Amino acid sequence: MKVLRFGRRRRAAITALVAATLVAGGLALAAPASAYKLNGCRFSGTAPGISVYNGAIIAKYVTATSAGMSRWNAKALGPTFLSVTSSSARKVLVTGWNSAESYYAVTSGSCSSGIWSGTVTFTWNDTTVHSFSVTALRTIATHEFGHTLGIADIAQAANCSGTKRVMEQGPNKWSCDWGTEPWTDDINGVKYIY
Amino acid sequence: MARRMIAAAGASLLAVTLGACGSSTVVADAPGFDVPERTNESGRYVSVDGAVPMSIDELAAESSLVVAGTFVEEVETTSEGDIIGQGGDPGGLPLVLWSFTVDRVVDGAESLAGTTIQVTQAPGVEGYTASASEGLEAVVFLNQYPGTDVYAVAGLGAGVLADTEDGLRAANATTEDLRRDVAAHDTLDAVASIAAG
Repeated sequence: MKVLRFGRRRRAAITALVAATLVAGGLALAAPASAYKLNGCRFSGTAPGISVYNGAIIAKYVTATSAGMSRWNAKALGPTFLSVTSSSARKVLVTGWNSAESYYAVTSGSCSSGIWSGTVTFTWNDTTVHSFSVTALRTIATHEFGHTLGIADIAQAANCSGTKRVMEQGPNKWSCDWGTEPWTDDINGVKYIY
Repeated sequence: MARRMIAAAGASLLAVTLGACGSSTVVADAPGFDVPERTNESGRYVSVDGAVPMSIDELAAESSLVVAGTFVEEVETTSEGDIIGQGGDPGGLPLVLWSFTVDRVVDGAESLAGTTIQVTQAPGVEGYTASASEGLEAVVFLNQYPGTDVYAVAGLGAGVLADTEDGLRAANATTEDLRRDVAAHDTLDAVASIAAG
């Protein structure tokens, strides 16, 4: 086996490089010390005002929608949701209809190079949620506004022993009762984006 | 050799640094952590959130029609807004309509036996499981868009049970519970019994 011999300077340089690599590597590994996921789209700026227009939907959805906005605003993360009464001023349109699909709600929009372009739409499915409690509707609204901010669904664990996240999606969505507010992991996701 | 090692270490350091500081995908990974990704997308983003079925019984409860038949071909790409009659803004879910020949009605409107209906799929949508393919024989749990011959698959797409040589399979089930339940009730008669429930 050939033994490599390095001079003192070269050995020091290599040691420094390896150390720097390990430190940088450690930072890179440590940076996402959470499990949030990004959906790839966000509003521009670090503290955008996000105008939300409630479009012709019934009162309990309006109430739940307001709760969802307030819960995110209460975390003071930079982006702020604002209710507007003019449809033309909207960045987010909240609406509803009767769908034959099984979803409770859909969030959709187009983005260009990671920035929402045009209106982001949050649509309630009255077919599936019309009999839901106010608490459940608020959970859904908080989750959907998380999507508008740029964070994606997290597959839910088989039980409720894991990290609390309002962005979890799975069979234990209701039994875990994690929809009452954005939790640390959700907040970290939004902080990462903005 | 030493120069090559230094160059390799430098390249590695540069890659890690760029990965940590850049606005593009963070490449680090660690057991138990999903790292941030998709930070700079272009295109349409759609996410559906809803009940995740864990059993055939839940699929049956979510649907008004259960049929056995064959996916024939893609017919049309459309949007849910167009199907509902509220096209434009918002368009809602982007959907692909598949033609589906109904061989047998397991539960629901018997008159559909022998007809061809249209079944929706939402490929590429976060939270939706699309599984239709040409010639796929399956038992499908459906709900009708009122006033149309278009039907949506229950369970955010999970209500397609493929009819395989080994029996019915929930090949794309989003929960292991559903996969196990279908494997334990892998015949048309067993599913019919549960659906009639």
